[in-house]
Amino acid sequence: MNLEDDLRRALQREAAPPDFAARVLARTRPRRAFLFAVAAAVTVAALVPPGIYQYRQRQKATEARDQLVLALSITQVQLLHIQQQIQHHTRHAQ
Amino acid sequence: MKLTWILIAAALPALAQQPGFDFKSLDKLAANAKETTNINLEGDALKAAAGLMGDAFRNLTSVNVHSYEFAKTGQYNEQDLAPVRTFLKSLNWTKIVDVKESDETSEIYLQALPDGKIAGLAVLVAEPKEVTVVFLQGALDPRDLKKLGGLGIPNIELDHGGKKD
Amino acid sequence: MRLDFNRILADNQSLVFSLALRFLRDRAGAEELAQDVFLQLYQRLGRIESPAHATSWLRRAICHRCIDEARKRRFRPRVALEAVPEPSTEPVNPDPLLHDRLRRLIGELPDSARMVVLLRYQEDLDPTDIAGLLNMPISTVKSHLHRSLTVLRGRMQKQEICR
Repeated sequence: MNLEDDLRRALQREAAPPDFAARVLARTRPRRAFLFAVAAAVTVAALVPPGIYQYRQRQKATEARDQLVLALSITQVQLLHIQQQIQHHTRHAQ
Repeated sequence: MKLTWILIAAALPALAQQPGFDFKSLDKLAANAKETTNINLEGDALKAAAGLMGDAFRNLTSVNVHSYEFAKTGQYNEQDLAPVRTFLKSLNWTKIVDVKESDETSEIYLQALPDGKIAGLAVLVAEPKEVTVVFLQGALDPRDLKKLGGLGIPNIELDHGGKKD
Repeated sequence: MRLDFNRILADNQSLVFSLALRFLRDRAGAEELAQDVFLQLYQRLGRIESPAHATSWLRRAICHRCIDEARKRRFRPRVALEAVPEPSTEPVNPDPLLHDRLRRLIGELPDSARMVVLLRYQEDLDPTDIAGLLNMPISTVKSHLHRSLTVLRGRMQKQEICR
């Protein structure tokens, strides 16, 4: 099984519904657009980043952890590969 | 088939005094690679990362992973990895696994402590189109590697000379 | 010069809708988010420089909206997968069950990993582009890809054994 090829085939784009474009265009009428823009502006204004320093520290640690996991993941995969090679050789030697 | 060199070395804190492997000696591999992965973690960043993963890796002091993927075979040769083997030999690491197939070589080196922990772990796997070198420094219990299972990483048994732990 | 919104809509509606659908596994929710994103673009159309810029903007917007939506949904009951009708435009393939299984398994991945997989294999973006789009380090992107493939491979094999 070539997983990556299967993934590409499985994830080929799904077409939008036939009336999707029409519904979007219907929503672009000026009155709705204005209300939407106001709602978006209010939401943005209400955002206050709490504990920004702690957040950044946590973010850095998370990024470093992801790097560590990748390094250890590569390690694990290769050790498993070697183990399979050993088992293969052992079976053939018997 | 992919060609992957992986060198993983975990050394005791006492051995941290020894000079680390100079990855610049692998620059020739990078020059021909179509894609590279370079991970270097130590100090506070590594402590913070290991801290998020529980106790298993708290003793790691340095992690280096360098991976080189090539577009086709023949873009590197055995000599390019001689610095790694020379380095290990100079520190008297023990080779516990040595598997050779037609186009692939796999080696595992250990530097063990009297209490059973591993001071250093080095793994070299050579496949036709990929080279990866990983160094882990810091006391590491091979059973801790299994704790990675919860992160979707397969569990493995670390074999000593082909025999199970 | 203001771009042709109708043309942008026609050219990108499948990209946007499909990403949302594959990520959320919820057709109605995907339509809603996709519409929202196009409306946002419509309001910013004067600042969009080219069709390529529009595509890039839409892709980024739908990714972030999907991830936000997934976070909100953790506090709400999810739509059962059985309630999602199978798409009627399923491409012909030798193993429709395989692709369906893969899509379901992808739906079980953590949010960030799932989005990375979709951007890689639906949109064919390379890790550098994915990192830029999701504001994520490249190593994190590669980590997500590596781990996700390992998990998917393992679960597919497990399902094969159990069949």
